[in-house]
Amino acid sequence: MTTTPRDLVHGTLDMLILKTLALQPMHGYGITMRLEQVSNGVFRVNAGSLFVALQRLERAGLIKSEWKATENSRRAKYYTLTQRGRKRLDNEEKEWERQVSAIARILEAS
Amino acid sequence: MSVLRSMAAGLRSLFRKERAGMELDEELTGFLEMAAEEKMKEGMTRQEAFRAARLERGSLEVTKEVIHSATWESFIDTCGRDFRFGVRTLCKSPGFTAVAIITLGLGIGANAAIFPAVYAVLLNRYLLRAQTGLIRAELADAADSKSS
Repeated sequence: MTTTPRDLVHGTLDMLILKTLALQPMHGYGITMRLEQVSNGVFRVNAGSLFVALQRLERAGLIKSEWKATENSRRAKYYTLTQRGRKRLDNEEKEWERQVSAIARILEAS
Repeated sequence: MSVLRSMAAGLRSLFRKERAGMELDEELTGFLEMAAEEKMKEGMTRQEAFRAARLERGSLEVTKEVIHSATWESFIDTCGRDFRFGVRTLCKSPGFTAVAIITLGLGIGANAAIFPAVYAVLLNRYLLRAQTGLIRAELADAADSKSS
């Protein structure tokens, strides 16, 4: 790794968590690990922002949680995407693509 | 809907604070332990690994505080604490408290007493006597009255 890990682009953590949970239910640490691995270590999420986001998403009914045993026979809270969460993820992905292509057009214009 | 849900979740954690706190504790401890285990696999000692995990991810206590203060019910907590602190401070200096209460009492009392008196003596008398014949007169500029 040549550059140090950065914080996420503001406001994208919720979307990235929803996307990660769309694959399978995961616990908090699993979510951070996956975000770091898939982003090739570009993003690092600390416990504070992760759990604040999880709490917010759960209260908004976008994810739900339950205590389960992990593969290392530890107890952990697993988060699952709800139907509403899936819908929200769809919307946010579309909106994100719209914004990214708009920004790209601006940067490419000369 | 989501406002209701958030309120329900907030009330639950407000009234079962201990349980909610314990759950969060367990979840965060598990999180840090998992992060530390990852480091131990890379060859760190247990102590080093936990230190590194805390440095990277934030310490347990700070994180708990951050998570709690993001909720609306933490505001109620803070208000309660401020109220208790206020009462305690007032109890500590009874002289000041007495002067403050007497001043406020006199101020509010005098105002409350004087308004009905003024109303009865000055305002009400005329209103009752000439209710139908009351006319409102205003000065107006010629220019003003033309435009309106």
